[in-house]
Amino acid sequence: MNKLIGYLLFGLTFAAVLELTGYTDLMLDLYSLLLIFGIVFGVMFLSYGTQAFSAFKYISQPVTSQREFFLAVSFFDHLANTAIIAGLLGTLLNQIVMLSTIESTIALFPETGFSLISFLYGYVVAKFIFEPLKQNVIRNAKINNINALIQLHIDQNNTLPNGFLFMGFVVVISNLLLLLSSLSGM
Amino acid sequence: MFKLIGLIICCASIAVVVDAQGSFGMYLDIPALVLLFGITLAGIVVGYGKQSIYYFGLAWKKQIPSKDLLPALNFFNYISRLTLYSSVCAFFISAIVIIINIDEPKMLGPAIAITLLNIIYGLVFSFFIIQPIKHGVLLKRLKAEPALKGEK
Repeated sequence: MNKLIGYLLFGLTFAAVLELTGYTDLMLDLYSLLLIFGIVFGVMFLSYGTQAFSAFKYISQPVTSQREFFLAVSFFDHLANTAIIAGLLGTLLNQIVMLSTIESTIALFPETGFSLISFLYGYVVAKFIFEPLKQNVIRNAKINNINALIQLHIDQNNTLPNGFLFMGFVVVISNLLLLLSSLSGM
Repeated sequence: MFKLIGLIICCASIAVVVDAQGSFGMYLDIPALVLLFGITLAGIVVGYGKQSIYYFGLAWKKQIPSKDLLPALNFFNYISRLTLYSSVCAFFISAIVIIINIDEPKMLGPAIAITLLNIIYGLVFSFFIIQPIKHGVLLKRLKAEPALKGEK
């Protein structure tokens, strides 16, 4: 019940903001949605097979051992990381098309803007769907202490996409600047 | 079986998006592939040597020894990071090419494309191939243990 209210609130917040600003049409991109959900579910099945369905039971059922905790937390971390990475992938795929068909400086801005929609979707799916589910696992956990090595690996899982995110945005921004400077000089 | 379905879903969703936006030829770049696999292979050989074959073999093993779990996870995380390092190298290679050839705007497009393509290849390689193998090893190890506990 709590989850339903929470997700309704998330949805309503985004709907209200889009409605108030009037950007609803701009922010809808079916290909990005397809890419993110396709990749998230594809990678989920690819890594966990049939166990993927039983890993979702830890949302309501408390974990009782360190092994279950490790498994459940890495499962949700993996899904969240994959969603963010899928968003970045969509942005970069779009950027390549933009780079090979660019003709004028003024067309650069809307194209870059549209390519960022995909990243926004990935971020929303990761942080507002999978992160709260991971918090559920942590809150319900019925274990006394966590092995320091296991904690280290969970932290490593969390920081894994950060480098790619940083690199992706450095490249997108520097490309924009380079193209701007070179096209305006022509 | 389910893993095959997952792989097909992944490939299909990428292919649909690529096909809708442009052509497949746009996304093929041999230097980027050479850079990615060269750096990854060299890093594996320098870091783990012969042991890397053993860790890759864990993915097909039924039973995984307890002492191997955390080193194997480290190994696969290391490969994931190596792909990132190769994309950093690609960024600097293309940045140098761009800065040297700034008076030839025709060189810009392909030079920038190396950067982006290398990040894309790195993402796909590490998050759709290496990470699923790592999580498969993790799952296989952790699933086996509670049964042993129940017997005691």
